[in-house]
Amino acid sequence: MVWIILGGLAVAWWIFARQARASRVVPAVEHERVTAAEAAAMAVRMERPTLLFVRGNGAGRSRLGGQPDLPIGVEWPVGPRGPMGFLAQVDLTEVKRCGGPEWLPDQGLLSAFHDDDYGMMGQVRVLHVPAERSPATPPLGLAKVWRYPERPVTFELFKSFPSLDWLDVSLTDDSHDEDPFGALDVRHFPKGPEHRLGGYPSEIQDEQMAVSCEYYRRGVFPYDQKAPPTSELAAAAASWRLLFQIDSDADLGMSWGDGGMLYVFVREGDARVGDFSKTVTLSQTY
Amino acid sequence: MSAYPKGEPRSVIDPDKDGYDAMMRGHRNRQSQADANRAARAKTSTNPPTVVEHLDFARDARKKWEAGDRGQAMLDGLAGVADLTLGAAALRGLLRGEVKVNGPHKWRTKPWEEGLGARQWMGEKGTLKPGQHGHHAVVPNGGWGKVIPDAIKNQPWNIKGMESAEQHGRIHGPYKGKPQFNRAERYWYGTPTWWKAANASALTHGLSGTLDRLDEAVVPRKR
Repeated sequence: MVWIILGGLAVAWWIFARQARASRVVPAVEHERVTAAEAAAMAVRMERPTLLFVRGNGAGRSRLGGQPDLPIGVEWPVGPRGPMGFLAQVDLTEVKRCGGPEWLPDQGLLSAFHDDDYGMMGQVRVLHVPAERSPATPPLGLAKVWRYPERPVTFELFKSFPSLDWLDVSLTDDSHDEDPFGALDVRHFPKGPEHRLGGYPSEIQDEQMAVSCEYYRRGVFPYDQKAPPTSELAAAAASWRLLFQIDSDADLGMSWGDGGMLYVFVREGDARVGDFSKTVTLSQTY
Repeated sequence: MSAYPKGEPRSVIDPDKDGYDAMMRGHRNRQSQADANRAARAKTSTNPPTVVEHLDFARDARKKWEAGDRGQAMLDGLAGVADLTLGAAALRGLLRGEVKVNGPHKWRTKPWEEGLGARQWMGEKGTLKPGQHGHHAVVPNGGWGKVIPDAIKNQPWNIKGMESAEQHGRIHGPYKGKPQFNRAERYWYGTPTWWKAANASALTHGLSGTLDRLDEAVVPRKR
């Protein structure tokens, strides 16, 4: 009888110890320590415009869900399990008119499709199609759960500043009571799903997303790395730009994990020449 | 030989009276032997009770084991271990001050927002390491968890530190070409120790109680 109890205690200790060890498995991310004033100065220098998707009146061609506009001859994207779900379409002419990023093409449509069963980078596929197109009917094989209702959208311009994770810094202990960020004139996003184009991501978990994108582009998992990124990789990471941030949205039936988000990144050089075939998608959840 | 069995006098001869006397003799003999054995154990035991024997659940389990009810004894023992684990997890949480009392209680705050969000606070307390994903283990952030205030669900008791982004992602679905965890894996990786201990405690106590009631209902009491 005593052996059974001792055995149970041993199992309980093993559970404790294993789960304690798991919390030590994650290599600690060492950030440079800066004051709040220094962090605010960095943020101001790196300010970028971001467009928040807001409900439109249907006059434009930008939308979430519904049907994409595809040119004749361009087939509906197909993933490992069949036709991919249509997420969003943005009219680049309207994007530019609303103050969107200057590194995007001036014309055409960007259409985003997703598939849950994907490889390291391709959860979301982005098509850049010219102005001449017509509504494409979803193929019969498209899963019902991926047929999202249409919501016409337009865009509202906000300023976007990088987070401390993006800056790869943490604040010195005596900085937390200061408020240099108060001078940034930040306008907060309204409550609700935060679908955006451009700017910086609204991270849910700690992650240097640009660095992760560069790792994935090179075919490696960032969390398998035992050493910090090299200076060459960190420099290459600086070229990644947030293209789309697609939030979980109960009204559209979009749910990424537990209320998480999809973040679609593209290298600035690729975007400038209209090549959206090499995007990297990250996802984070609660 | 007694003409009258125990109890009230009878107007006819009790056909069982011989058997009754033999039965009572046997019972008295067994009781005497049990008393003698108990006295012998008390006299010869010079070792102090072990730590295990100090525990009530262990003593009760041992009694049942010696009485031959081994299944019940094992369940009681496991229930006690689960209770100890749950208690230890709760005590550890209390000693580490793992309750965010002051707001804001939202998960993350931007640098220009006042106060630390729950994630940043847990980072400072050491509950989550820098770069470590925190998974809402018992109360989800979305779904039915939306009606639960942040002050309740964004607390260390509900947040399980993940080994990697992959582990977190695979709890919720496929991730980077790897399939979602199965149910057992999601339970193992996605729940904190105290939750597992609570489940084990509830399960073993429940089984033990059920077996007790089955014993009373099905097995006649020995006289």
